[in-house]
Amino acid sequence: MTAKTMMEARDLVQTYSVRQGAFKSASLHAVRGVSFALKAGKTLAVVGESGCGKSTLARMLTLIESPTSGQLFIDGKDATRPDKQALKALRRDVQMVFQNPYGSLNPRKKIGTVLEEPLVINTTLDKEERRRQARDMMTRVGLRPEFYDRYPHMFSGGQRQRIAVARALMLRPQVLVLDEPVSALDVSVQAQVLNLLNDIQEEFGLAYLFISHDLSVVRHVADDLLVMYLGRPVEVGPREKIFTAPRHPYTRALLSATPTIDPHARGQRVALKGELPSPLNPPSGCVFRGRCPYAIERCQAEVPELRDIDGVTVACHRAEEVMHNTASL
Amino acid sequence: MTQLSSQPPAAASETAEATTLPAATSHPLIELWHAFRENHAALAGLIIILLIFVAAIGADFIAPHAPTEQFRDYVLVPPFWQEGGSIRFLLGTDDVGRDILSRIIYGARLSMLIGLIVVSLSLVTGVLLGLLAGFLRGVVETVIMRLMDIMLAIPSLLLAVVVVAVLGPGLFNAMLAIAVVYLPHYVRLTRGSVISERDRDYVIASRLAGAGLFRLMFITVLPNCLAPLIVQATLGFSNAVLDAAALGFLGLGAQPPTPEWGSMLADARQYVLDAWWVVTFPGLAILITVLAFNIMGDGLRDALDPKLKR
Amino acid sequence: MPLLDIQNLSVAFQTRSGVFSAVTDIHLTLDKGEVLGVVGESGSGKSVTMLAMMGLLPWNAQVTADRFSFDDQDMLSMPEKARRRLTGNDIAMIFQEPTTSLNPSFTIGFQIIEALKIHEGGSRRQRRERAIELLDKVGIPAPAKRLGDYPHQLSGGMNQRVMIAMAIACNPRLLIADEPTTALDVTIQAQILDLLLELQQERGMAMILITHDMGVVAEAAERVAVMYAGQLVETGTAGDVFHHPRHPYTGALLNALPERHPGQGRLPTIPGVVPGIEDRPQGCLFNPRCPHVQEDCRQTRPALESDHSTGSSHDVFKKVRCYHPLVAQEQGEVAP
Repeated sequence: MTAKTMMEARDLVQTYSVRQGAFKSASLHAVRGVSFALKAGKTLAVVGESGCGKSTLARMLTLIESPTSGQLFIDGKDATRPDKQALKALRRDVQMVFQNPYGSLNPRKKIGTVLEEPLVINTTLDKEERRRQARDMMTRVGLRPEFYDRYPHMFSGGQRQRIAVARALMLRPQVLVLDEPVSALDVSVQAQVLNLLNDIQEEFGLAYLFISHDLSVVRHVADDLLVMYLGRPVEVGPREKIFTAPRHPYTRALLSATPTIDPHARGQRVALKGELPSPLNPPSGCVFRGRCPYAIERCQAEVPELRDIDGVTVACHRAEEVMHNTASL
Repeated sequence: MTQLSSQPPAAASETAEATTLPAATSHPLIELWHAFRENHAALAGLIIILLIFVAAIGADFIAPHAPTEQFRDYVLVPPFWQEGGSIRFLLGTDDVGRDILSRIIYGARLSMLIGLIVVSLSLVTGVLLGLLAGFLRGVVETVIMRLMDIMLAIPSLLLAVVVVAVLGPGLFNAMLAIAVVYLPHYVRLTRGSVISERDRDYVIASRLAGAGLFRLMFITVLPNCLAPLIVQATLGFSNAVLDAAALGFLGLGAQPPTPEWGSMLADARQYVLDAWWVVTFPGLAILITVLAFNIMGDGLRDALDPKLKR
Repeated sequence: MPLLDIQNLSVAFQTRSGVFSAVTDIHLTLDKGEVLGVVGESGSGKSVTMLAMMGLLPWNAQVTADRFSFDDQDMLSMPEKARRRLTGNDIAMIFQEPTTSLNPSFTIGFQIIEALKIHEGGSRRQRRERAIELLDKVGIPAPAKRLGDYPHQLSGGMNQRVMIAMAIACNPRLLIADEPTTALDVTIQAQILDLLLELQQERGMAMILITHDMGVVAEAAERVAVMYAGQLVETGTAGDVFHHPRHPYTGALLNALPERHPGQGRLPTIPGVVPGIEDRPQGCLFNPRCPHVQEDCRQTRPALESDHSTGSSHDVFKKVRCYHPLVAQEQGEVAP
């Protein structure tokens, strides 16, 4: 049985024009050439550090922004530039959970009101029915329905994140975009929320787009990985292939920089020099070359295209060497 | 699509984390009251304001005399504790023999009415314009905000005088003038809060739920912008009272013989030297009212500011 | 004689509704040049403990201790002025949010030079040269040019480097780093941790690293102290604590880490939440959430006692606060 493709992106590009001074304006490529297919019940993790374009990607996938070019399909329907009617229908299929559980709930609204808002806007259910559904959903995410009349400030971070998950589920979406959903939580609470997400994915057959910078969480939840650097995908493929043998030097550096309590897993550290270059003025050739320990002259001259190496798509001229760890630094 | 399961949720073992909440549900307004109550000065301000409102509403029963009744035999009688004073006129009489206490009580009615109407007018219009400017951005914002800048550039009393000069003197026109003068404050305040709230995650969540512009403006964002507006409205109330008095003093507000604090001052100013009570008591009424509103406004600001909460 | 010696430290807050103790019964010793990691979730009291050390607690806090000395000087009885000099010169601190720890209205050069003026003196020119040298030391490229930059012009990682430069400006003997890398990206976090450890080793500084990230502690610290609900529950070498945890809380916390369960469905969790400052249970503070709870755990609170039963080392630092500590085969399977 093959699962249905719930979300498909083809070469998504988002370009902003940034004013520089009174008359000049520059174009900023926030996201460039992102493609993926996400199947029902599967999790695609988007990995990268701040400034890599994760948030822009999330805004495009949740239909808050339209891409500059490229195509987006949700459940087989074209969602690239939907009209008002289509947008309303598509919105029901994609919902989002935000990083900061303290900012994502309206402080002036009761939990019940927050949960019912999507139903009020999108359905014709009566008050009783809405209330019943909200309370059911609260039970489902592990909150007591008596909390229906409480305000968000009375809840802990973990509980708020449960509320946010419940709100995202009210319209029975097909795809959840999870923007760093556990990075603001303590370890023990993080495990609880990850379990909740896991249960709900199984129960509703949801497709997850899981944005995170924490590779240990990603390794736990993801089926596939999309590693981004400065707006571009650098490595895309199945989780275990990437974790066991990263083909891109950036993925490799990320992996080695992730702190771990297991001394055996601590490989040799690939220290990255410097910081992210300005996206307004990216380096020529490969954007990563300034920080890359493997950089050669070719990287300056030629932008590495995405190519397939043994089931993983990677954008690096020396991917084979990086993969087999034979590259000379 | 999967139906909601009725079986016990898999996450049930973790619901224990939810049991440690405080049992009582408290509405934000109740919390506001608890925080406000701590500030004794602000509480005193609130009590004075309530007393003034009671006096204004019940003026017909409280005031010993009619405000315009002239006791020709008792012109410029001093307050009762002074030599020549009378219990009949507790705070004395003015130059045509009207009871000052009664006029002040009836004047409160007018001042409160002016305050209420002016604040409501400028608050409602200002919030509306501010929401539009903050949400729509672009040309709408530029037009609204530049207009407000121009209004702010004109001295406020002068602007009020101009409006009254165009519309003609009278109480209602004075109120309209004062409302126009205070409009920019509300517009700027609303727009500022809207801009800081508009990109918060909970607003994006509402957009994802399909909320339209109207819903986002009034149901999602506005309640979160109210705190500074409430404070501004309270302080605006005292400004309105003050400005109405100023216009009355200039003869552009309430017309005689209407009992209005400002015009009472104006009418009596030639007796300042030999009948101090004629100017002192209306002046004190203005002072106490304005002070009470300002202190209460400060108290509200503290109670509403989450940063000052423990 | 240890550099820092804390015995039975408690911090209580006086509030309108009574006195609440935030932190109780803390015992810590730290030698010159040693790195101690303090781990705990939010509400564990790790930050309060360190703020108490720096004398940065609000006015309503009451700090008591049997012994609280730095370099054999009693910190509690010390006059305010002497204490400020001590915390300025010998103890330095860096915080989680580098961007808000720096004043946004002044250039970083001005802020470093100002800090040097207070502690070192010297002419303006000397201080400027020293500032450049410090920025260079913490790995900021083109330091002379950066002096004129404002904090908002630099990235979070660069700002944290500036904070570190200011912290080491007066050669402190103890550096307290409160979640120094939490706000930073993974690759930058690695850079900053390396820098801190390099400086620490080069200068023989003692360092206390407070964090919620056990991976960071495991990579950086020699010794680890685990805090729960205002108490130390387990101390020991990093290897012992992370690979042979004795306290059920430590065991459960380690077991909840996703890195221990790659690609598996559910994670083991700890039921319930960390008790708040106002509703701490009777007996062992962890007893309502502990899978191994027994009757005595509910009655009295266990003390932090030395433990020589497991682990390779016979370090006196190996201590645990539990009546029924985990034994080897249970470790790692605390909450099935």
